[in-house]
Amino acid sequence: MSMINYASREINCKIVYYGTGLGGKTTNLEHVYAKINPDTRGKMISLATETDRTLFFDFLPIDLGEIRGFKTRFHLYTVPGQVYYNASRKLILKGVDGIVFVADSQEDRAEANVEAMHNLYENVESYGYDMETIPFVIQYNKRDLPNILPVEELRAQLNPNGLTDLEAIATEGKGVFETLQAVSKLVVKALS
Amino acid sequence: MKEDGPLFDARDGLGRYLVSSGAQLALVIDEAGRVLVAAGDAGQLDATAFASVVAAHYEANLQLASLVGEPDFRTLLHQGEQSSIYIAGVGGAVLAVVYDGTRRLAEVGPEALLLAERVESPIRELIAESGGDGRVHHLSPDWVEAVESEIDRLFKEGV
Repeated sequence: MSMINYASREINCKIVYYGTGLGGKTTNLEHVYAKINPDTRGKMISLATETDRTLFFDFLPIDLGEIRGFKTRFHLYTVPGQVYYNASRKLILKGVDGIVFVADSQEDRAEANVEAMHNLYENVESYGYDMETIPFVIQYNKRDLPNILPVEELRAQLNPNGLTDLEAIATEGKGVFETLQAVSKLVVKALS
Repeated sequence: MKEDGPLFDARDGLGRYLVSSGAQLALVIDEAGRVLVAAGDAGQLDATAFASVVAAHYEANLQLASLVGEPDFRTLLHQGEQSSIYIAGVGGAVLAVVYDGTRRLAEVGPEALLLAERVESPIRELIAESGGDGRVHHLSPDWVEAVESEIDRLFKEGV
């Protein structure tokens, strides 16, 4: 959970992008890295295979500067989407403060989305964290593709509890910052 | 900055070790990859990125240990030509020390182990103070409002 270091006056919040393989988690971070004010971002780390599939994680730190006496930072992580990397996925969730579930809107990825959502709940709860209280938003990505499900159907499958959800086309940057804005605010509110 | 308390004690312990060992940098990193305490000069090294990879690396090694029936591999050594890294679990966090190429890890390992023992207690206290023990800490509504406003400014700028 959020590390509030009162002695050094620092707050670091960990946000994890979760979801199916090739769903667009890394693309979200790459867009943030490319477009955010360079003074506020740190080095982006990608532990990927030769074919650019995430092997362990991607990492991007964002520094909001000193706010009311606290140096405030967000650390953005992605997990590997492929199911056989579950051990790595689980490790990255350790100490998580906020989660973005990146769903692939394509019809033929519906089952994989649901499977990844169940896997997320299992992994989070294995640490004793409560998914009901962790700041959590859902992004329906790839809205530009032809074979996509309507948002209502995705919502019924993935978001029965009516969490904050957003549409996105991460390859064009659409919805990327809105998603980050939404989850960041929930994380911050959870600290009050 | 307070001149007592666990942060001061841990930083003091790391600082003394840097002087005596000639190490370049020492970091204490929490399980989520965040720097808790730092001493020394990071130079060209991006300490934030370094900390995120060290934490994940250490956690992955705990999993490796479990797969071969060990409770943990508490110490990890990386010897390079230009620099070397010592990593150890300490007090619920991870200690990472970076040395330049003139020191061999076989020489510094025992000293670093003593350092880990020395800073364990303040690190445990620091983690408890910072909310890492599961206690809930609350920040003022003023702070929340100011951060929300900065989030709006920064992330709108990026759109």
